[in-house]
Amino acid sequence: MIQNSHLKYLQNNTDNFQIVSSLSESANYLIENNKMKISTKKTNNYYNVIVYLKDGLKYRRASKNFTSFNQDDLKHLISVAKSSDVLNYFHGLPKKSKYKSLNYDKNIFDISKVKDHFDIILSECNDVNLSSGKVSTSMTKSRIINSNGIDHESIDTGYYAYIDLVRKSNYGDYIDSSFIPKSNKITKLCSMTKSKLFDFENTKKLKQTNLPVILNQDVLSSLLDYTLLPNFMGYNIENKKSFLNFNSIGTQLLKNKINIIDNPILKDSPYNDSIDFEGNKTLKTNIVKDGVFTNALTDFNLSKEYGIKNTASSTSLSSVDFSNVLIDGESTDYKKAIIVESVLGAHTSNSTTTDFSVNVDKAYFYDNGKLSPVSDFFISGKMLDVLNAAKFVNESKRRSNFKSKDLISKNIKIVN
Amino acid sequence: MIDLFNSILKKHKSVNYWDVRVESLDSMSISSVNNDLKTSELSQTKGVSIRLFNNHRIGFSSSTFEELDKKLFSKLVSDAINMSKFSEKSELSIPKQVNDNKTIKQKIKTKDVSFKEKKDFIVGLSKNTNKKVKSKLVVYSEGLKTKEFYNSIGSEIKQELNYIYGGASITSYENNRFETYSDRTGEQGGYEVVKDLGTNVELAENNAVELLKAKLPKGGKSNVIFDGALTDVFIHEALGHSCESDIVLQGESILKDKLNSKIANDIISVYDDPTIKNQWGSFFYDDEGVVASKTKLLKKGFLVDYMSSLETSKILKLNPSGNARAQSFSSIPIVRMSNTYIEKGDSSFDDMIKDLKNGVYLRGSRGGQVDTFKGNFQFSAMDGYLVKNGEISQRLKNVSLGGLTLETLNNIKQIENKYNRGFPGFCGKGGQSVPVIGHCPSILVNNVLVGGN
Repeated sequence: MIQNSHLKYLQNNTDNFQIVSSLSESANYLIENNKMKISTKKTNNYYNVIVYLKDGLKYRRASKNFTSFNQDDLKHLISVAKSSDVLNYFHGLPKKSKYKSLNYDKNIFDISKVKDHFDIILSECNDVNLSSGKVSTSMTKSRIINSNGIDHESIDTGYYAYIDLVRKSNYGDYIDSSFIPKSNKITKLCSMTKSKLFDFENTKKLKQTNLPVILNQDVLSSLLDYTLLPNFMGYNIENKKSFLNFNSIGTQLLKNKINIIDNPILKDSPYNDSIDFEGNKTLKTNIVKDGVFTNALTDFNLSKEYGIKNTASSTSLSSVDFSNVLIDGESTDYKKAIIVESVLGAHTSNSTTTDFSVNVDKAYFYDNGKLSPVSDFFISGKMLDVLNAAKFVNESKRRSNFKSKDLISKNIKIVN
Repeated sequence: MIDLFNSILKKHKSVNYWDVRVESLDSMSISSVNNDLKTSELSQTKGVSIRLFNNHRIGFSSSTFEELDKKLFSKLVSDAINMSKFSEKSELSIPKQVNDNKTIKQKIKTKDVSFKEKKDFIVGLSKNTNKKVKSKLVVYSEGLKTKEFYNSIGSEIKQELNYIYGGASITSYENNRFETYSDRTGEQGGYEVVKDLGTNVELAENNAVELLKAKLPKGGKSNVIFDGALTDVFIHEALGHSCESDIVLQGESILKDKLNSKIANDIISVYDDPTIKNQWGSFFYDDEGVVASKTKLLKKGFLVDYMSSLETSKILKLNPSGNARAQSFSSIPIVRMSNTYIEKGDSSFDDMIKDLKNGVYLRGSRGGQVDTFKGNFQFSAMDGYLVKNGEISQRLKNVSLGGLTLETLNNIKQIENKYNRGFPGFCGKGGQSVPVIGHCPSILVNNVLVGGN
């Protein structure tokens, strides 16, 4: 519990401070081999305290996470701040703003409703080996207090369901998930995953390699996560871990008219929130518009220091990240292509160069409406080059925190 | 403490077995870029969990706490019993009753070194004087974990594990081209673990700059040498995960029904050993109160054992191997690796390069991924070299490789006669992350698919 005595102590002994408390409860129902294996309940109470001490015109800082704290802990934190280096810059903390909680569904913690979901999974998947599965629900009560007048309280609820299905063949496993707590979505999750599972039973070796490659939405999402997207994060730019710099905001990054948007206020999304870690009110931001680099992800201090827009993307101290990503561009049609459905090793890509080389786990050879499952090859390329030759195909879909059509590009090399 | 647990749990006659884990973690991390302190974060957490078998159905509940008292523990027991009602019946091997207290020895105790000294050391190492280096990130972390374990057969185990880690990630730049390279060290012990961190920083810096001249490899099938770091990732990801008995029981392992079968070239023996002193992946007891032990997984190409937990060992009729690990008090123990390695062979590295004749020598790891069901994998090396006529030549970058586990295990033709240094890492499984490492020799493998241009 944050007590008034703690706040008074921090007011009297620091120049600026922030406390974030989070009390979360979660319930998890784990399935293994078509049976409910174990059910768990977790309660976690965490506090993060950041203190700032003025030293001439500069500031020193220290931060600590606690499960509980008292005045002696705060005293120790202040002593650590005193022996820390002065910060290159500190422009204060955000002021109070109005907001509304986005994610709150009290039914999520109603076990009678969630029980329907794992009952659906067990019954819909009874004709295949449901090797593992999970239904998770969570509720988090958060409070952010800072020395600049912010005192926000919010309640968020979360939901996640996944299934991993197996068939006794060389290529017979398939995994999928849903973030939407609705029975019809769970039924659809099971039927779609089973359909894909059966599709990949008779996978053949790929023969033709000089074809355009289509990255389905999942593959595009995971490759972008580990190649291009980290370059837009303000602290990566500041720490020179990005090929971009703040001066390049407003310049043409991609040859064609691609848009990349970060939207933390997207309804029914896993990563939406009304405020960020610093208490800034969140907002939808164009990162790339018509191929132009328009905004880097920032927090209060980054935006002040570099004179750029505060995108309210703070996730922890000196850290920013994407919430829900939307990408689109010019649409096209196709007759013959390789459609990549899943890859291994996207996380081994090089974010600074945007180079990737990944093992294709599942793919289709598409020829005038006919789909043939293929496997056992690599795709490689540089994401910047891929996007420079990219167009978009098929329907736009939202999966997890990513919404786009599938992407087709000639600049993806097939190696087998 | 055990009296508190007994007094509450004895009222619940339907509970056949229980275990309780109480943990505290004191940690600190420091990061600095180009002589500029970026973050210094402290953390102090305490938590407790109970796993119980209520009429043979498992229930689990956990909570952080300020004080572990009767009220909190009663609520946890009540929650776990309620949750158990959703589970199907299951059984487990009953562990031996143990009373023990173990501690990782620290030559230089982390608490005896001031924050200022640690901070100045890390900031100093990140000083950048190389014009080709754009970003020089140096990190340090320490984490003292105190774990207490109690169960219904009277075990009381306390172990203190202390993880020390240091690393560098360097971004180089020249002629509009960026490259990155990283290096790291980590063990359990005291502050002495990072005394040579400067060497890791220097290695990363030199390699990042040299990578600016490296070329992309030509893609396709090739004979390759994996250095120790890459062998470690291959053995861990491709073989180790398939030897985890929970994955075997889920029908997700290519090694299901292959116990005592020959699955690899007969020069190969592989072990998982959490008892190696002070290693990154070591522990004294697993999170089910089973004493840590060395497990031989492969003996001269034959699969001879799986890693197991109390539950999977009961189903598979194996001796519990002591491999049930949990990321923290709030996670359920699942079957995990610790320090996993391939036994050294009898080839010198120089002879292996000569015998490779024409191929690729791959070094370090940017990570990898494996599908244990199909037995296919993908790994990326930090860098590599083309080998021409038995000699190391052109440096290569962005080299990834893939293949099928069983095929690759049979294509290992030579194993180096010494162990290389290990790279501390965290293995993710079931949403949990635990410290793991391997100290592997280099291996020569025929016919591997190398991804590239």
